[in-house]
Amino acid sequence: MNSAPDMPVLQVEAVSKAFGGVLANRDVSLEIARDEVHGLIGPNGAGKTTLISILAGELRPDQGRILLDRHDVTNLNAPERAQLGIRRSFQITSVFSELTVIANAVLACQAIRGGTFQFWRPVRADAELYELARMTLAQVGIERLAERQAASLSHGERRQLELAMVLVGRPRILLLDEPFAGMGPDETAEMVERLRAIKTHQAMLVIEHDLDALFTLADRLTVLVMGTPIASGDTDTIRKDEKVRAAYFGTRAG
Amino acid sequence: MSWWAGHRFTLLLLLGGLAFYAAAHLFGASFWVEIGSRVLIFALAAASLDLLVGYTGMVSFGHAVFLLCGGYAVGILAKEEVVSGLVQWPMAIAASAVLATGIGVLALRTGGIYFILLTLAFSQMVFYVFTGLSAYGGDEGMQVYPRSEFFGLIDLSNPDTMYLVALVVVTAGFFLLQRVVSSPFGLALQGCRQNEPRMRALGYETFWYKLLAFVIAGAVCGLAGALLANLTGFVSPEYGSWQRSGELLVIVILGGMGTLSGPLVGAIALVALETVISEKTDNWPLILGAVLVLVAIWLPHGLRTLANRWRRREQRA
Repeated sequence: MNSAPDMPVLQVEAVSKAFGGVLANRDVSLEIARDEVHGLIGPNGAGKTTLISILAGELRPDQGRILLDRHDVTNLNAPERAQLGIRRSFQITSVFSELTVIANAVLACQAIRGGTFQFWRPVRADAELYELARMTLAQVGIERLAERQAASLSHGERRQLELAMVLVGRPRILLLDEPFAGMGPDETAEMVERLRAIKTHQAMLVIEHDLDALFTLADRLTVLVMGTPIASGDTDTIRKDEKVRAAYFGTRAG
Repeated sequence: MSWWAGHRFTLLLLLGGLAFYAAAHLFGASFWVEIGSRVLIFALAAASLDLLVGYTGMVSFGHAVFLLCGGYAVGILAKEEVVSGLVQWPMAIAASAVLATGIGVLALRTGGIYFILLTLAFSQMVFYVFTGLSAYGGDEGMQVYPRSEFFGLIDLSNPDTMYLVALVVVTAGFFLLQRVVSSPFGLALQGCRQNEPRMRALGYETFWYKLLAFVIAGAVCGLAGALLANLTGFVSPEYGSWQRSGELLVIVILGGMGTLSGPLVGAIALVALETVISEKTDNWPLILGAVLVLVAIWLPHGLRTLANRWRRREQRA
């Protein structure tokens, strides 16, 4: 499955999606290589989150195809795609607030490892599963929070917990919806470092408004305006692109 | 968590039940034994409902339909001269599981308020089907005669025997529910309640988890129905009335959702209120209403948290 290093993990082919009469995505195509962090930028309402929801299987596109490792996954639903390795984070951090941090990680681990239709042995008796969950937390440096209730965590800690959960089982691709939203400069810097550390072996599609943070992380960028990609390329190309500057940065070149 | 911690409640239920039995006889108030049986049976029915409401976050407003289903399984088989409890009770469980599968598959396509409405609608349909079933008493109901037999060794028309059998069966039911809620499956149910989109994004096909919870809850409630039919010696469509479903919800909420001890505490409170106050006044629902309001405002996690409050107050003092 992982033959050539530049083989695309995810291919989006001419995806369109309309809500009523409003086109949220129009003819979106992009490719993400298995060692690539791909940034998705654009003004509010450009259809970025819609695209992530389509890729994660929560929304069905009206047209177009989505391929994971060259297999068509367009007709698979969200749980099926998650099992195949398309894992997403949400713009508003999405964890299980009333559970402990470790229980959150256990839920993520058993989803991938299986055996969740097992209802006789207590989950706490499964030492192997708890070890796996602890390693998951250690991966993002929050194992010290294991026994805390998720609701009691700070915003940044909850973000880290969600990241830990989506990283379980080495996903093929992460879809991160504004991973730095609501974070202070220190927390953002820490998160950037964390993502840089895993990007060597992890494909990602990242929506982000904090362009400084994104530019240090992304290999390539796609700019979405009114649901359509208007430019795609490496960070320098995007920075200099006239159309992008006009549409997104709101300034005329020169 | 040690084995003891997980099953402390089940063991306490068994010991407490025996102590209650001894006390009732010691003080010569043997009519309390029959009331005790009622409490146990409704506690089990409510605990099975709590698996849906408190653990999985699905508010079913038709859960009494499984009391009806389990009760009629016993009543109809008895009339057709299949009297062995070893046939009747598994049939009560199986019929309720099948019914729950049917209702669940359809009702779980919706969520929230529509799930409440659909479970209510299905239970009303079953209610009216049995109202028109004249071969088995129609809306008048029917005698359960004879009671379930176990090789002639156990006479369930004897209130003492009935109580002890109910205690053993209900304890077994709570044991089963305890295993379910602390299993990986039980954790997944809590995940469904708290954040279903997150569950799906992690790779859980949540529909199957919720359906299985619905079937387990229905089956356990069907067993409670089989017990109730033997306790009262009578079944009628009223077993599955929407008022009865409401009562089960009241027990769960009164006692405390999302725990297994809550439904037991709730059942004790409800039956005690009913028994004690209805002797003095016909307006006992008025008092029950007031109690519910007070609990909802002051004890949002139910009566079972009263003990914790007192403990905390003592510590502070």
